[in-house]
Amino acid sequence: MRVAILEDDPAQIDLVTLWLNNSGFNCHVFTYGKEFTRALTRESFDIFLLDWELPDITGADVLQWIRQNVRDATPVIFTTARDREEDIAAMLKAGADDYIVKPLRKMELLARIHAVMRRSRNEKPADDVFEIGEFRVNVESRTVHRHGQQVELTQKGFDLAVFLFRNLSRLLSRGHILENVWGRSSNLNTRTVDTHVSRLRSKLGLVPEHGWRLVAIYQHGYRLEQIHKDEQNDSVNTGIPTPATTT
Amino acid sequence: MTITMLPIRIDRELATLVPRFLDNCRRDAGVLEKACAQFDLDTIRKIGHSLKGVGGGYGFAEITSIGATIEAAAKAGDTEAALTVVIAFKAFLKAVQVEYV
Repeated sequence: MRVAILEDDPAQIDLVTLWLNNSGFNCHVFTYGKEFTRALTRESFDIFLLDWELPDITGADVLQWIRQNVRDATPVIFTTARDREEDIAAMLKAGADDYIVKPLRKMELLARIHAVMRRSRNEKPADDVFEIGEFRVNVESRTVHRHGQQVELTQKGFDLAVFLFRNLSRLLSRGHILENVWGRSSNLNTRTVDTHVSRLRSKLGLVPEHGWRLVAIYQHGYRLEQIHKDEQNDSVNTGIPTPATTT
Repeated sequence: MTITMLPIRIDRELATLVPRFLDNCRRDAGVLEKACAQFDLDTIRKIGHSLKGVGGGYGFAEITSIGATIEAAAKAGDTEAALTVVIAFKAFLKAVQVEYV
């Protein structure tokens, strides 16, 4: 799971990244609000952890920017030492999915992240075996069947298919895909993603004639969409956040 | 404020981070002392706020409590009260003995 952390306190960054990395998360840390919103115009994440007090803009400004500019409902958890009831209520009303008062506690933080992820659309379908359209995917046996016929996929092709199916209709950045399928330590170029996506589109028939659209978004990434016949001629909405203009 | 001078048990997972955290706390204590002398309420508040937010996460509930008191003193414009806590903070940092479990 890819986490974007907006936090300017080095001690807090050390602590949270240690906990999350040890629990299998991939952490991306930003210390400035504007740096964070710029990154969101080209990258996608599974969850955001926002601090309130930042060197340039406030976490509240960033939350507002996210809700106005990031089309998919990526969950936001506020983590701040501000414990006033009015602050907590204001951020939840402004669109935060949860609010944790610092100091953070490891088990609570992890449990809350998993809880908001469960409530969001990002963990669906999480079952080992799931059906989506004409596809039946078995994560345990690493097989994909289309109309009952097994489709031969490479290991990475299978991982990519599962990641795209599990994130149906979400715009996923190339970095996000690369990290999820090939791992954080991979030195591969994002062009690798383009090559594998192209192959997967062809192997699984992810084309409008079959009710699918695997859309390439220039300088950003891909989005897998399931379309109905009457939608096949619709124009493509990119869903890319607009450039960072946060005040 | 009463500081309990007892060994503090910290999760072994944090063993690589705690020495640096305590070093930074000692540095912060020095900065706070100077800020109190210069009536620099903004610096006092910010460091107090940071200590409040992070201390307990590392297993030092006392540091969170100290940070909260320093932040409150800064908000009240009371550098004398802040300095009293900073002195206690320095004593705590000298006395603390970490035991990883």
